[in-house]
Amino acid sequence: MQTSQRPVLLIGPALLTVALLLGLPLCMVVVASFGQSASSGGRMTFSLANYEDLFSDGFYPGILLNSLSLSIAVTAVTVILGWILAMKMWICTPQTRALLVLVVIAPLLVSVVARTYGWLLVLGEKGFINEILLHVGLIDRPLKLLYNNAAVVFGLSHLLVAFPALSIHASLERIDESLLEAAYIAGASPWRIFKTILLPMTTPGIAVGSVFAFTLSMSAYVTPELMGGKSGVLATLIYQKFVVSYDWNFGACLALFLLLGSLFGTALIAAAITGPYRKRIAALRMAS
Amino acid sequence: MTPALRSLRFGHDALVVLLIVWLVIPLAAILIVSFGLDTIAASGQGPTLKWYRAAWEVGSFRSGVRSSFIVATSATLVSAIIGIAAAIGLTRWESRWKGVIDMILLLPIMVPGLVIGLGMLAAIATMGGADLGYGRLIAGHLLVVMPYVLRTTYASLITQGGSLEEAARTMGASEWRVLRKVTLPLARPGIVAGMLFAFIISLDEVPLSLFLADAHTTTLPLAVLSYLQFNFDPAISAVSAAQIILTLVAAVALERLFGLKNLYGAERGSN
Repeated sequence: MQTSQRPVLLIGPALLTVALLLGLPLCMVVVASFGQSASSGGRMTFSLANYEDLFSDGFYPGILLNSLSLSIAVTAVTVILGWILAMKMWICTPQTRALLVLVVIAPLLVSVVARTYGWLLVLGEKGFINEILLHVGLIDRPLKLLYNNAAVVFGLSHLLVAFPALSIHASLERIDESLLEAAYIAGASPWRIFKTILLPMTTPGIAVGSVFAFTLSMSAYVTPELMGGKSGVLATLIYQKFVVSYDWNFGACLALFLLLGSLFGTALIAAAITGPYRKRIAALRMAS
Repeated sequence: MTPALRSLRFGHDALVVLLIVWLVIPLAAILIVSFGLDTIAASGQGPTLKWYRAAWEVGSFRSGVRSSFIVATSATLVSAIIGIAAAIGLTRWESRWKGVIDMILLLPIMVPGLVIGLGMLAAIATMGGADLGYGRLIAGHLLVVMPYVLRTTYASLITQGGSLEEAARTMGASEWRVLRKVTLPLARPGIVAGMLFAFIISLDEVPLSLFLADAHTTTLPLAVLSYLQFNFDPAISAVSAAQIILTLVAAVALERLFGLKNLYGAERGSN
């Protein structure tokens, strides 16, 4: 394959697009977080006031922690459920696989508003579950299933389970079958195969899936807004500050924290999941 | 299925069935309500299209459809041009910077839409805040859908290998001819799949649009969202049901054209 000047020309526009449309806004977020809307009247000033406000008031760290705990819960749930789905998608007939892939991917293509609304229809006070339970006589009054943190975890898990499921499935498909055969013939129990082959080989998939689930939970707006309770979430706060209160600088500061928080979580997940298994993955790669 | 694989089944089929039901329930609920089937016992009426008619009456939904369509089409077309070019370029480029560039081009999906939208709005405002109409939304959408077109096109090109292109060149074809007669046709499944995917993603896009849309350019998901916050009538189900049906058609089309498995890299033995 020839290395000519042309490839650079072809890739150029894409790089320029990302640099301009992504790089510039990100710089703006950083810069704006150091400014002050009210006092400077829109001019650029440098001040750490936003950062001080963020930590002095107990309110903001509370929301940050709430977002974090929700995201961790969602990540854990989606990885476990995703793993179960992925295992089935791996060991099944082609027809079942086609069905499973469709059922997992199709909801991803539906808008988050529609999907969350669907849950409102099912879990709401006049929703399907309550109507059925009331009709059958199992309960006297409608259950309050929504507007709390559990509902948000439930809704977000439903939204995001596809990510770990698909990435773990991709990892499973990459496993060299001769490795499995060798282990099986040598008499390894399913549990042993799981521990020594499946788990290490799926760590990349688990890692990628967790990163998506975590990042998307941290920045989730619609689901917590429609299904959540009083304890706020980072995204709603940012939107409020930025669009409603016009406190752009503080909003930018919060957004920066969201970004850093996501990056930090990502790095943590990547290290925690792939670290212990690096040697084993290398050994398995050499064996296959 | 080999004996080894069979030994790994741990009888969790029931759980998987439950999970499938769980995944489908909200969508089924919307479809049921949209056709008025939830009140079948009470009213004794069969399926009805009245909620679809009601949804069509809602002005914000109609303008939402129009706005979403304009933005999605523009964003898909522009990102396709840029993304396809980049994919072709990446297959021909030999450099140790390839990994870094690849990562950079993937960033728009990794950064939360909320942050991008906020930053864009701040950037536009700082630079004068001109009224760009649909420009803001199109710019934002094309940024976040481009990686998809790029990846699917790249996947199509990579599996075909560069040998066909080489062969055409050695036979004396000009670069333009190679592109037109060999490269693009080879990449077509990836291109079409990527563009379809990009279109759907743009139609559903919420966090970015929350910041970049204004009163005149409100997209459909945003229109539904604000309607939801004050009303709770089945017209919403009709709109959402229409989206779901459209999505199912698109998903089947994607499967036929490209294979849904290839969208996330689940090829047996692929490394």
